[in-house]
Amino acid sequence: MSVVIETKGLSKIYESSFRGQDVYALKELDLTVNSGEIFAYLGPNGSGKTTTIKMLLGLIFPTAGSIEILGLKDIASAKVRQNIGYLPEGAYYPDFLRGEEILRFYGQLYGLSGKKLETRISEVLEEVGMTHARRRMLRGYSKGMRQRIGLAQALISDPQILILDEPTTGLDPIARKEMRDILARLRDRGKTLMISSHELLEVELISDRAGILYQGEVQKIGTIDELLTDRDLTIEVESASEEVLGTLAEKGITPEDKIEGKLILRVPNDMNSYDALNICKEQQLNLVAVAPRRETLEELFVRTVGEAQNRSTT
Amino acid sequence: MSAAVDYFRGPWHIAVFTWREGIRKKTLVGFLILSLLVIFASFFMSSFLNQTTGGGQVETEIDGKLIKDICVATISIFGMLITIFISASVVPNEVENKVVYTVLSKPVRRMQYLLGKFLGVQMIVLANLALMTALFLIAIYVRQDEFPKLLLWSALLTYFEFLVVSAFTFAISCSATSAVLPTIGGLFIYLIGNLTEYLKDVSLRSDEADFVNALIGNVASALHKTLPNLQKFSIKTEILDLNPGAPLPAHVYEQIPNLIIYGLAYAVSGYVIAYWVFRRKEL
Amino acid sequence: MKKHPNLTLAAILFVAVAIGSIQGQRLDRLFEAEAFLQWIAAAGANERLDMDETEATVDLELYGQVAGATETLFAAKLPEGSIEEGHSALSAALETGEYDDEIYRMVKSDELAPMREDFLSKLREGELRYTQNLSYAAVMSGLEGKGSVSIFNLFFGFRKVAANFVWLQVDRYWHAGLLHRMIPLMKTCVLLDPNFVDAYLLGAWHLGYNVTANLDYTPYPLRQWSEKHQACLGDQETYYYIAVDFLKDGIRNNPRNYKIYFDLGYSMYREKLKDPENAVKYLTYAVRLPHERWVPRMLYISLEENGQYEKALEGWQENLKRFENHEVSLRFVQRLNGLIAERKSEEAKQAARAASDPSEKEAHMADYRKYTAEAMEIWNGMSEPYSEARKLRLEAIDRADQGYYLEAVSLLDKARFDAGSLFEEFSDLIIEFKLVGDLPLSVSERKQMIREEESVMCQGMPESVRDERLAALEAERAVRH
Repeated sequence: MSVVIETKGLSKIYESSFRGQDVYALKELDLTVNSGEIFAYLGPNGSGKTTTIKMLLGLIFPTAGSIEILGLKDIASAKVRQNIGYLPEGAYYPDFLRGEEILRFYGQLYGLSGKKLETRISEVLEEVGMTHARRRMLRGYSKGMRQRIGLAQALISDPQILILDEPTTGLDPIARKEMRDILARLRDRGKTLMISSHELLEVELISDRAGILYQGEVQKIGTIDELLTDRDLTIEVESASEEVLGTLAEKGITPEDKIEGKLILRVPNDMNSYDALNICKEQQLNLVAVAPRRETLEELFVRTVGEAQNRSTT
Repeated sequence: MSAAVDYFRGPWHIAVFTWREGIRKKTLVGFLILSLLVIFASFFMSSFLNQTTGGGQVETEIDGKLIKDICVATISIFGMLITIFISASVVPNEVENKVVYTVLSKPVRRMQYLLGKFLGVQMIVLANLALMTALFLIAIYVRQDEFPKLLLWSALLTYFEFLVVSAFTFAISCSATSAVLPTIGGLFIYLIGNLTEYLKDVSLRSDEADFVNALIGNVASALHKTLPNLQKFSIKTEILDLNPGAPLPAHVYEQIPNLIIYGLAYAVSGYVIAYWVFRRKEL
Repeated sequence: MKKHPNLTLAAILFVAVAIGSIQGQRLDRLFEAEAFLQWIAAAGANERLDMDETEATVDLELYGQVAGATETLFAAKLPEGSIEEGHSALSAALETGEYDDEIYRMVKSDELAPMREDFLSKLREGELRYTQNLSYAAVMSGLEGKGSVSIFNLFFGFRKVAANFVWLQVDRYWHAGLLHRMIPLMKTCVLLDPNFVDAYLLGAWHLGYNVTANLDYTPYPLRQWSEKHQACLGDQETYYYIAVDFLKDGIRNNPRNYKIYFDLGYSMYREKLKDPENAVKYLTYAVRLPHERWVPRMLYISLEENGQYEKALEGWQENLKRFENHEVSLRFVQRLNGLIAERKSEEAKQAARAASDPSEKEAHMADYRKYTAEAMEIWNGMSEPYSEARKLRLEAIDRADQGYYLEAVSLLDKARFDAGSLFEEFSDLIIEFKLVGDLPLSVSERKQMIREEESVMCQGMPESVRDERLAALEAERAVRH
């Protein structure tokens, strides 16, 4: 497993032109993306995701730090560009063109031509499931179809790396599922994908690693398994008095939710499950259900961002 | 050789793409239709001349002159507007709709991208000019029954005037985020380019004895020498008064290539500024 | 480029702007040369046609220098006889396009550099007059005069369009009957577009024909002497000469357009000012330029009116060669042959009268009879009112010679009503016969005599001119007696 994208100390500062403080869009970012994985690049709006991606593509220029892609520092070189496919967020494609025409245009920019280009167009259209619409004008496309043709243009040169900015935003559930399937298929074929998103559920389902960005800084980074280490136990009981709850809280068991008169208790992950059950038994609570619970990416995200917010305010 | 071909392949595809997109612009089509209407209307302009004036022959010749003058002015004005609009909008529009991201993330250098865009603009401008000139040629041909070849010279010079304005408007557009500002800027360039001559008046009027006055005079004189002067292209209207049957007079023959070099030099200047601005632009 | 991109770009930009700037200056020099060329063309046309010798003294002097410097060059190049007496080789070379390239080369040469500089500085000071036709290009290279706002700039190079709209206004004024408002606008119009030939033509036509149509005849004592035109100007004549000056401006600005020469020669000098000599002059130049086929015929008619029968005859014969069996030409050839014979008979008679030796007298009388018979034969060969009238004239002269003046007068009176074109000529002859035969003059004939006597004086006429005219009139009267 080799590293395909690596940034070291990457910073972007927007100088305030009028007396204010300089704005850090990105603060000394160290990031690696390994080959053959789907890397989820997460963060709330304005956290610096798009800034990072644009710097990787050479659309904006870093204030400090370095970028290496496929082991090359010159990220504008043809070798790097040949191997990067990029799907910007909410890009508009000229709607007077047909699906295949727009792909032909982008393919030509890679220096493809003739028969090679035509086969490649057919292949990517097949890949994104748009063969049926290749001769239709873009103005007749649905949002999902547009997004898929966008993905197709990113794939036209058969690049090693795909950088996708919010690929599922604005799509309906079925289109999302299809997009997700396409992305997973691409990973299985050995592509490296970097997906920036705030649609965490989608991302969690397919990504291998994730990085959470907030205010220009990486808060957490690692494989999904590494990140989601919180394994809780929840115990559902019929009801409990305030007194009982107080006793439970002393032992570390906290009520989490109340659903239809039933109470869900949360057991901290350092407590033995049997101990927890014993405590409940001592308090003579009526058990309804005992269930393990893994933290979702969404929860992790909200928690991480919350923590970061707290840090920055104190 | 093949390296050079490779280098220009990308720009060429971008130019064609720009062209295909540009010719569908509504403002452009609108201006074109408007200019065609004026050219068409010039046919009837002479009805303002009452039929009793002069002998029949003189009247038809005033007619012809009217059509010729109005058409050249129409081509100049509407052509210029189209040029400014198209030069001002191609780059900002692509930044706005993010097509520029998809293009620049391909193996396309910014120089190549700009070259392609500029080339595309020139293709559109030329096509417009050609279309208007063709209609005008037909208009005159129908009226006078002679092929007005001088008009072709006139159109050629008109193009190089457009080229200068186009390059500088393009330069402004590369630093702008929307097409509005560069469009206004382009109109200003056209105005200023036509008023450069007044700078000479300013420098002639300045009083050598007074320091500030002399300084202003010197600055005006320097600007007059360096800024492009679009009035130099006004021989495009003069040419039409020549005898269409005779070869071009020696002085016009000498002026045309020199004017073309003049236009090209300033077009290159404009383009270099455009690239300079765009080279490290944060998109 | 890789190492110092900003420096490289700055360098390229500097070079490009420098090329543009240098090229701009180069163009300015070219435009200056063009301006000089155009001014030379205007001044040359002026000299060739002796149009304006009094007003534009600075132009004339400078042109004299330029023409002097190039005299030997062009005198060697031009075919013999193409340079007219008292004119420069340069103005002859300017007439047609043949030597244009050479003239342009000369205009740019170092040899003429001092004169070119002189021209440019005079132009900037606004001392020159023949500069109306300078192109925008020339004008914009700062030649419009120091600090003046250039009207050319004001219209963004579209002054020709502006000229058209001004013309539409002229036309409107004409239909509204606001004739006096037309004149300044017409001048504005050609100032905006000095190559607007039709504006000159129509403008002059308005002035010469329409504006003056309702003006009355001005008696000579009320007329004003014009030094510039060497003529006594009444109400009508004032406008005729405005038109003449307007057309002369047109010629200076468009020396290669036959139409203005034609209108000046035919419509103004022939039709309005009854000046066949000038008519012939301008029509001759019109014919030398590319022209319509009817132009030479007007020249031949004017030549005939100016008494240049032989030249007119040549012309018609030429015309006949070009258009075989052209009926009008045929008639004019016959007519001119008759007129030439008549003139010869007249000359023979005068010679006979002057001769003292009887044998010599007899020889002249024989000539007289011979030419009269020849003329008669020609007139007999034609059958049209003109030839019939000419026959009656010959008969009348014969009667008068025998002392039958009343009979002669009555024949002429009949003839002048039969052929209207001869009315004036025959009326003059009637007066002559009546005076010689001591017959009483009619009221209108008396009136004409008075007018003739009056015409030698008008207000402001210099003594020398008056004396000259008086002498001419007396000489004419002496012949009649």
